[in-house]
Amino acid sequence: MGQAGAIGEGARIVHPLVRLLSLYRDHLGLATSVVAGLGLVNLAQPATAWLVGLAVEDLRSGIAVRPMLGGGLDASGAWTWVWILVGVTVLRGLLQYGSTIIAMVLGQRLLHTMRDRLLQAVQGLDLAWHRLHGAGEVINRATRDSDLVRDAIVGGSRNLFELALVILGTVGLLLYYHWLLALVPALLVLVAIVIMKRQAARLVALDRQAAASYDAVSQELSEGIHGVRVIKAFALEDQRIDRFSDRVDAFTVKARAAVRYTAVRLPLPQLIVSLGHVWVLGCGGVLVSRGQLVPGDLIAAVMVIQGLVFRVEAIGSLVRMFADASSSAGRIIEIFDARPAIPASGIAPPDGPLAVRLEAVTVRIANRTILDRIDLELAPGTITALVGSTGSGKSTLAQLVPRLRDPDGGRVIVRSQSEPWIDLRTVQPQAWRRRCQLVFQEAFLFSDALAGNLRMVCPEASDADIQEVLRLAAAEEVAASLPEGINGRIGERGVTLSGGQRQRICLARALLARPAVLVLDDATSALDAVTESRVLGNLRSHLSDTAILMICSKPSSCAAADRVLLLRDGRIAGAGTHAELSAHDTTYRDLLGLDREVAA
Amino acid sequence: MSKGTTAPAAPGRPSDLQDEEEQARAKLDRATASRLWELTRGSRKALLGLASLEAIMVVSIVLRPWFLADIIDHTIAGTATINVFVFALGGLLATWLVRFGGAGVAHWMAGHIALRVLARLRSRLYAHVHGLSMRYFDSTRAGRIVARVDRDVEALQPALVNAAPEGLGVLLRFTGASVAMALIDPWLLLVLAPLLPVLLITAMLFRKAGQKRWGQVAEAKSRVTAQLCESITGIGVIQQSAAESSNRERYGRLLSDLDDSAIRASYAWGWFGPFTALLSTVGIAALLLVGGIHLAEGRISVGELAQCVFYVFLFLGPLQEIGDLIERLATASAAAQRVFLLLDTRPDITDAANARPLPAVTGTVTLSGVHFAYLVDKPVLRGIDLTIRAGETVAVVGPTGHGKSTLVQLLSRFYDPTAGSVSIDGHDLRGVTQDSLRRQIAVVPQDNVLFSGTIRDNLRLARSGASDAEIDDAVIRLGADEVLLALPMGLETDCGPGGTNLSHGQRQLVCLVRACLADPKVLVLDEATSAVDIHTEGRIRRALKRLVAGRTAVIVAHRLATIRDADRIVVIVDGLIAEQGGHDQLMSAGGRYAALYASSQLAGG
Repeated sequence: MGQAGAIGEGARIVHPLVRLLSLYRDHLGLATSVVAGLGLVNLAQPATAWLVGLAVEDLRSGIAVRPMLGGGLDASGAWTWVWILVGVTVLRGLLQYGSTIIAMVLGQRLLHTMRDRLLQAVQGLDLAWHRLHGAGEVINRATRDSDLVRDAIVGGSRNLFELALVILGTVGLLLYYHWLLALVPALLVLVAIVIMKRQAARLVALDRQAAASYDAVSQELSEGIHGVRVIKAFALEDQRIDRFSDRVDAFTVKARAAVRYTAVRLPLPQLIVSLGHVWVLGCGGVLVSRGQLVPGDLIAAVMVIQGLVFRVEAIGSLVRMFADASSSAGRIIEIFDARPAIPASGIAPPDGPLAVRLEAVTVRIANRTILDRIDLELAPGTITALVGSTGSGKSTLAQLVPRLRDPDGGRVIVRSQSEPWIDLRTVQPQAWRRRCQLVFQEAFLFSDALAGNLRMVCPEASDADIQEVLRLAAAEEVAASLPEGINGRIGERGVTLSGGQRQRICLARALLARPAVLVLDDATSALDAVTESRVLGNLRSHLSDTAILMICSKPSSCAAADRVLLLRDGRIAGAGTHAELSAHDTTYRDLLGLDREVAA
Repeated sequence: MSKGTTAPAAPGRPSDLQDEEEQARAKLDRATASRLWELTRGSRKALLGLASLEAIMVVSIVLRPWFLADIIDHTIAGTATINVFVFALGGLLATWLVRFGGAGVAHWMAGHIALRVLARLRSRLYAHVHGLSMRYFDSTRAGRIVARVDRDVEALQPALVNAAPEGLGVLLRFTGASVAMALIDPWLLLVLAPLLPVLLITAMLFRKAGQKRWGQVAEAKSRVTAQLCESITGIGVIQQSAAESSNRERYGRLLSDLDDSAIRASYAWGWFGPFTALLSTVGIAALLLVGGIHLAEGRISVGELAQCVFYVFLFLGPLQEIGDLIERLATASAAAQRVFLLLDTRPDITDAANARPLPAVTGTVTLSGVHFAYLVDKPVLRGIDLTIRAGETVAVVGPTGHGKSTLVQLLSRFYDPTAGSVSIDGHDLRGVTQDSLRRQIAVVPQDNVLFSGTIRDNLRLARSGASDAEIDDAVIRLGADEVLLALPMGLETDCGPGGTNLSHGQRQLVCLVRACLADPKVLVLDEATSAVDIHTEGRIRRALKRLVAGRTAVIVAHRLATIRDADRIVVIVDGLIAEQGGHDQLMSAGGRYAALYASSQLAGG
């Protein structure tokens, strides 16, 4: 799939739905054949009615079935009509089948492009953007909104096109018979469309209210299931069940309003169109008695107008579909248009052992200064520990190093041995992250094989490599416990792992990349002391050239570091070895709980 | 794991659909129908009304072509007076009024019934789910449970509300058209008859093929969605691993699978529309042929022939709709089976028939000979004997995965032991009501879940009548004020869905305060402060010391500062108590605990 330039930037004035529809431009050939095919198919419908009219006329006038000389009837004319009708329908069926398949292929291609673009856009946006919008919201856009858009741009646009053709075909055939036959139904259809459009606006509003109160139901449901342990622990079942029922009832009230509105208002435009049917029969009857129309044509006219009465019903739902889709399209286009704060371009990162330095780095989030002119350096082959209280900005600092976030002020620079320093902003982020691994605080694994989870960072790693890093991360027992070893599935639908096991696998994943810089964001918090010290020992002995930044909270971890930094109020408030800091720094002693407190 | 799988995307991985089909296959269909009928109790009169309405509408539909015939015959015969026109057109208008007016009322009625029945079913399912035991939640994905109450209930609507009246309507239209045609000319009906089995059989075949293929499409679609959701939740890891392009490729493959299955499905399904159109045309052609002969013979009039052309649509149309109806019913019945399966799921843990409320206890907890296994052949606890005196604080330590958290689950009766017993003040937990038990024992679990709403709302869950002052006081008493009150909005901070607006450590603090507010006799903390910085944890520990006075406390922890303070330390290794005693006692014993302690204190403290 290419860049799909059709929905690229610079088209901000254009309606979002139109911009998504313009994806069709990439498949002009297919689109043309679908339009042509469906056009013929839908025009074949009035054409069939026309043929039936002619056939009836032939029968009535005695052309099709004639008395034969020797008695009996010659029905060969009627047989001709049988073959004509069946032939036309077969042709039309083949055409319809072909067009349907091509339309399906086209629709899928379009959706494929749209979904692929969406993933690409979402993946390209930086963590700050994701944090701002929240996973729930992004997932909603990627699933529900894109489904609504799909309905409109694939099914909806086809229905709209077909409906237009049926209206045109019907009015056209009526016009062919007599202009009086066509005039009134055409006007009535116009009036009905205007009414339906107005109603649809109100219905969309009602639907949205209902949808919003259904969101409350879903939210309550999801929290009730995810929080079941807490609900049980506090015997909150009855309370939550009542709350849920209240939400359901509130939704029912809103949904009822929408149902009532449709039930009361929708019959009006339909009745208006059905007046067209009455008109055609009445006017046609008069024309027949005056000899201006033959009875067969009248039958055909009644046939097509009756078909139209039922098709017009769909206008209302089409209008609603497009109204729903247009706000969804807006939300999707927003993602397409969002500018990643970290563009995916830049120079290759330097080779060899690396040093990283933060110079006067400042980060602000929502007008609060989280990090305030921080200076620190990570040297190859050293372990730097970073401690700070809950919410002091440690994780934010951790994300600056692999450039998952850029600082608002100051810079992060990197160099190889004695080469000149390079500003990270000039380095290609993906390439840099292959050299600089961050292990997150909350261990996230994909539902995939254990090996698949690890190979994310290094697709060419051998099984032996994987066993090796699992050993380094003290996670070999996880693989041993899976029936299929490293090929066993973990994550959702796979074996459930404990927090400590997940942390160790995430660590193993980072190690597989053989990083020059490794950042551990409290990534060993769930490990017991023995395992943790074994892991840290392995890091030191096997990653002897790696610059390691370890965010931690336990004294034992700090003691294993070469240097400890104390983060407080967004600044580095203390630096030194664990021994130095614990000897002189009371804040540090307090933070790590080194003073055996006398019972307060 | 792997059973016969059809999806090419990930071999060896059974699909959700297959899982569920397998779960649901056992018994069904007739039972399903009667149980669905059961659900409509209370709305049956309305359903009957709906059905009668449908019948009235059918009459108007069957009458309509007759007015056409009337006009045609009169105009041809030159007998079309103004009265004829007024009568026919008035009648025609009346049929439309009945048709669309009736449709409006039917929509209103069906909507009301549906909303009512589904709302009741949703609430019932939700209540039922909350009666199930932890084993169910631990072994069933949350998303799947949500789908039962959400999508599957929605999918029942056609079966519960629309199917019966629509089915009746279909039947009546078919009968009406047949009778009308037979009255005009029985031969015409006979000519059409052979089309019936053809249409019915093909509708069934298409339905079968379609169901299977649409199932595959749904499966492919759900894989795509799952992958997308995972990519969004794991975006940090993807970016960190520079795995954007490989993830996109993988997603692209799933998309192509979806494309293929959707297109394949339309290959099979796409024939249905053209085929039924062909049958209709064959019907009309046959009618014109026979009707034409009869016309020539003077047995029927032109108007009657035209009338019958319309009856062909009425005659065959319902059969096409039957296919559609069956299709929707099939979807609904699959959903119904899953819903009923959930309703049939019985909790492993229920209040015994003679269960009594737990009286006020002092808090002596006794485990005797406790064995436990989640899976039959993998014992987790292998004979634990432990008595915790009222008011005692016990720390449970040991390597990850050796049974500490399991022990905790047994204390609050989230699970029952496979052998042995757990009791409080001599009351076996199996003999008391779960509600009364959990009012006196509060657990702070590892996974800290908050509900949307403010921190204050979340705290109030534990004690619904608590005043603002009491809540503030609890936060301060526990030493969580430094962190929680420092938030921009303090206790009024919105936690966000699932508590995602707060950091891990902040969430843990809220959970801890919540547990203390419940004022339990027995307090169980399972790694409850693992993400809180040590300074704050220290404050909490000191506060807890005061708070646990007069309560029994069981604390699972890694941080030794927390453990050290306990009255007794129990070391669990391999599902057994390896050693127990005070900190100094265990240190001098030089066993597992001493080793653990030494490694964490490498640099001294």
